[in-house]
Amino acid sequence: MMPRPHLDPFGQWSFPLPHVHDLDNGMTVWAYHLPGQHIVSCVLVLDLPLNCEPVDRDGIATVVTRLLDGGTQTHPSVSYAEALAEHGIHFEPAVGQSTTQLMIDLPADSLLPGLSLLAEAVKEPVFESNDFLSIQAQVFAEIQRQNSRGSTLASIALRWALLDHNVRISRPTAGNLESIPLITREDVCDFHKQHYSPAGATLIICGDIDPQEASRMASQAFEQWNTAVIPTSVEPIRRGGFPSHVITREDSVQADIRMGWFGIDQNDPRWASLQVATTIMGGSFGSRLNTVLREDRGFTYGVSMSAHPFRQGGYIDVVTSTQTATVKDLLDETREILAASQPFTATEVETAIRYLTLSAPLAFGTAEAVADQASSLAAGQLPLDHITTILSDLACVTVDSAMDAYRELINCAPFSTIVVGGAEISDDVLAS
Amino acid sequence: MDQQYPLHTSSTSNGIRVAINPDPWVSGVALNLWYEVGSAHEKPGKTGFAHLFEHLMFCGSAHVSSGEHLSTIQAMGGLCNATTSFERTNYFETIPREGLELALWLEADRLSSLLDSVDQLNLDTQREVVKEEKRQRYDNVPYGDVFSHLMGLAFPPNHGYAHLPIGSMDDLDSASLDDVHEFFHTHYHPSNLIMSLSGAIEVEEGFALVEKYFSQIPPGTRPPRTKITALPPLTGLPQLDLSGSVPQDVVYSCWLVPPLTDEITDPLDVGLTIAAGSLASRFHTALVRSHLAHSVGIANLGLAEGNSVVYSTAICAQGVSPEHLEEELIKQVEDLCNQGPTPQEVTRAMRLEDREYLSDLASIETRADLISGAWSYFNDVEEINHHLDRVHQLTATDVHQAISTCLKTDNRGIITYRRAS
Repeated sequence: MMPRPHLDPFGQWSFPLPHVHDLDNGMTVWAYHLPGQHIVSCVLVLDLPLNCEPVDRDGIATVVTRLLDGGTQTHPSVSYAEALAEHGIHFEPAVGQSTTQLMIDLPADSLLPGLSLLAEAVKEPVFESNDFLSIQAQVFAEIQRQNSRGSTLASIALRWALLDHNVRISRPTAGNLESIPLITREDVCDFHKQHYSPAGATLIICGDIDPQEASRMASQAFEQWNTAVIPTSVEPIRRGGFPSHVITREDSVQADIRMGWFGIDQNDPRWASLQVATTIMGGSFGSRLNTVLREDRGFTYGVSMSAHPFRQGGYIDVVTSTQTATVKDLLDETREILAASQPFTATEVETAIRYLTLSAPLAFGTAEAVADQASSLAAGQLPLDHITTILSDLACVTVDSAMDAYRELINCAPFSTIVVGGAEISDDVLAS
Repeated sequence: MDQQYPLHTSSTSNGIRVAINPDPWVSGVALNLWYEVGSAHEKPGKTGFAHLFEHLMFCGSAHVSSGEHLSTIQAMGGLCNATTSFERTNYFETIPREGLELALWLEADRLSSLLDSVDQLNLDTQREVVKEEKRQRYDNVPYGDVFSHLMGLAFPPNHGYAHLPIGSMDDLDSASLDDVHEFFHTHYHPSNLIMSLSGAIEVEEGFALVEKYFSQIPPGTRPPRTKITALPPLTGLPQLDLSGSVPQDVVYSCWLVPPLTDEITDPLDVGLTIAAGSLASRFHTALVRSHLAHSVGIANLGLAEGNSVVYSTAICAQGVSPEHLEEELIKQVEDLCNQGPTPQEVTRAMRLEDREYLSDLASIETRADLISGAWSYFNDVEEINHHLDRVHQLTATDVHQAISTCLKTDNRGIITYRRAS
């Protein structure tokens, strides 16, 4: 056997910077030149907070996005989907706390038609009645399917426990079984008219493209879109009551478990230290939680701890599952590990920093990954060099700063535990 | 395809088939180790063993402690995992170029000395981890058992494809250390291994590094394989009725079709895209837009030996029975088989395939996996460069012929999954 090789010093890396171009209608284009990436990923990030949804119409933002590829004035009905397919374009919408994001992936030679079709979808959707009824039924059915999964129920219950119930994001983004049937086609048309606007929108284009040419195409495709709307601010995130509870899901052979804390956003000076802390506790295969719960005890297929930032505030969660018989043992061990009676070691902190910094150039190796991250920057209203700044911040994290962030935000903070499983699981498992 | 990925192949002195795909635009390297053993090669009563063994490959070796392989890769920012399929088990890591030698050393250590570390304790622990994985992915989710039933419907008992790689709880319980030793000695050696490297690596350097770290391992002998022979099409409309705590009724249809390596696969897959590959597809237009289904899909599982399976999934809209939905879906299949696709439909399907295939090749991790697969299944790594050219040479007639040959409605099986009342 050859001797174990030593590692050479690792090179420096920074997140790519785009060519930035402001359009007259208030949109900004970020064009990233990524050589060798022949599939171009584009994301139109609309400044459209989820709290724009009218009372009792949870999910309308999702229903509207799902209707955008159902036909436009220029390409009515199925001819819009046919046009997408003719150019090899995949269309995917997503709704978040602060923005709605419309993504298209396409071969590089389809960029101009792709941008034109994307512009059509936001400018002149038809919202055909038949299509509306079909999408409404589909979204309702998707919620039923999501609600039939223990993992989804647990995640929904955790947000509800951690956040003030008057905050829209405390409830499921796509709505619920009560709200979706109340939505009418008129509601959809009104929502689009009142909230879809180029003002404050960011168009991200990533791939092996000429950034200036791509910006010119974006200008050509979107210049006629001039809808003005009254902007809505993202509502502040407020803490909830942190109740813990067991939810019975009949016939479960495994329990889905969540633990959660109120968190911070990426502008918080503790963000890098928190990242290191969650990585040590549950952010990698060799984390404290995974080592004990999976590799030593065989309790679970996996356990993770991660921080989820919103534009302002956020939350932190532990996600795992185990068979019914070991729920209490797993929770007892998890609480013991989270008590962190052993402070972080210098080796743990150094390993976590290396993991977080060195994984970045690998994680952002495709146009899709860069577009996805750039979308998060736009959604969080973060600067273009934010990722590079975070990497610099990580290098400055110490044992003390990581431990301080852990104590303040997790160890000494109120938390909620949610267990979704069979009827034989009692509230006793929640007791520490 | 306009873009050709440079590919170079060689073999180490002990028989590892090595492919190098240098990519000047990335800073990392994707390393893909493809052992030609999967669940199809498991013995009766040993289902799930290839996958359980995959877990044991992370439990240490002569110079690496349990869990250290993954932790070491992650400590250099790398991504690392493994998957077990019907015909292969792959282990893959994407690492910074600076960490390539260490990654190769880790892989060589477990290939040369895994059994030094595997003991009853880590076998028992990983058995429990795999059982939790089975609960999480199959047993505790709605419809989670349907693929197990679908393969059981399509293939006769004890056929290599009749069970899923996750296996059964009983068989997992019966796995012993003797099984581990026998499996390792039979399947895990250089002559049964394909290794692909994609990314920031020069060709000669890549070959030299693999030789450097693996050449001392005895080559072993490729295990004798009983060739899986092609089965005749399904007959008699085999059906299975399932029910459970599911939110909607779903109906599945399946067909035995030629394997992935058969030349009919390309036109067949184009036909499946025409059937259900986009919102402009026939199934979506006829079944979803008309409120019969919430969603409809059809796909080829891409099995490589004897037969593959094409299966459709249709979720019933409220008030629509599975029987009615299946009848309407089969009408669409019959129309496609009888009339064939239009040239416009074929063109659209080709463009969708362009985007999907080039998306897969965009990541060095997926590209390395496709290269290993091309070598294993087609004995030609250049398959990744030729695939789209071949697809673009197809005509509507080719697609029509493939669909009408493979998707005869009398040769299907049917599974209905009903919501328990």
